Amino acid sequence: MIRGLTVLVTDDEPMIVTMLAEMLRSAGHPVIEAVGAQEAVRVLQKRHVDAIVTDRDLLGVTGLLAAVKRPVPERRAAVVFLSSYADRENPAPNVLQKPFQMKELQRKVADALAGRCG
Amino acid sequence: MRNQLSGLWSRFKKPQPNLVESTLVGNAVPAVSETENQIPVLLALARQSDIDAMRAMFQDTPYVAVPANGIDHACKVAGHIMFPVVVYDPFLDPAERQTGFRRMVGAWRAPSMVLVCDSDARSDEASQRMGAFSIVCRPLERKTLISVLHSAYLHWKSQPSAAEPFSPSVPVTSACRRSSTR
Repeated sequence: MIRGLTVLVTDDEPMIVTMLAEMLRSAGHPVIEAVGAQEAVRVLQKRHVDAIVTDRDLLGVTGLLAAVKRPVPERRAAVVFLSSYADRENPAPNVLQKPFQMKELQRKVADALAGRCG
Repeated sequence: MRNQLSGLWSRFKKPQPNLVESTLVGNAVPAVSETENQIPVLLALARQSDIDAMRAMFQDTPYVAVPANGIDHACKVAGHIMFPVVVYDPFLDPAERQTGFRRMVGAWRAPSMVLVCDSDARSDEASQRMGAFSIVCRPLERKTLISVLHSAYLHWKSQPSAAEPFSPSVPVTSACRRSSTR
């Protein structure tokens, strides 16, 4: 059941975090909001999440990705990157080019979760 | 008013595979049958009461209210998310009453802009001159608002490319009820 899986949303801008979170909640996901990579890492240390939505250029994203690499691979969160520079013609599976439509975000997260579950 | 809206509707009526319900049903509110068919609407509104009212009116429709608390906020959001429809109050930022609309239009790629204003002739005319897709006036009515949003969404969908610069291809219509005292 992909819809009930938890998604962590992080960005440097609180309002972007809130907006993305609302969009994913409307798709049926429980969402944890984190402003900045440090807060996101703190969340990951305390809770299990199934997917992470983050800006690829987020300050501290490297540390965040390191935190994602848990010792148990099957519990590793799927990561969806938001980027201004993604290639729309040959899109990477886990990268979403900005600006995107709400349904594209929801689909990308669903695909990432499906890949993780599959 | 009803004829005006139905004329506008028929102008854009065509099969919309991603739209939940491409016909207006019952009280002219599109029905929701699939949760993935959600249409985000940015509410760049000055009054919290308008935001609350619209949130309530969007219940059981495909529309999802996403409020912005200022023009800067709205323009920043535009770098992340495409909104087919932006509902804008020219008084969101009084200092930018003249420039705000253009900033909003420029920030997004071809949104359909719906203006909210008080129902007096002066603000109505000023809003029309801005080149919005449509105008809704206070007091807001659910049926009217949803019909206008539906038309605005179909207009956005009908544009050849989201990258095209914004240019209203239809005459701006006002969905304001005219006061008999004017």
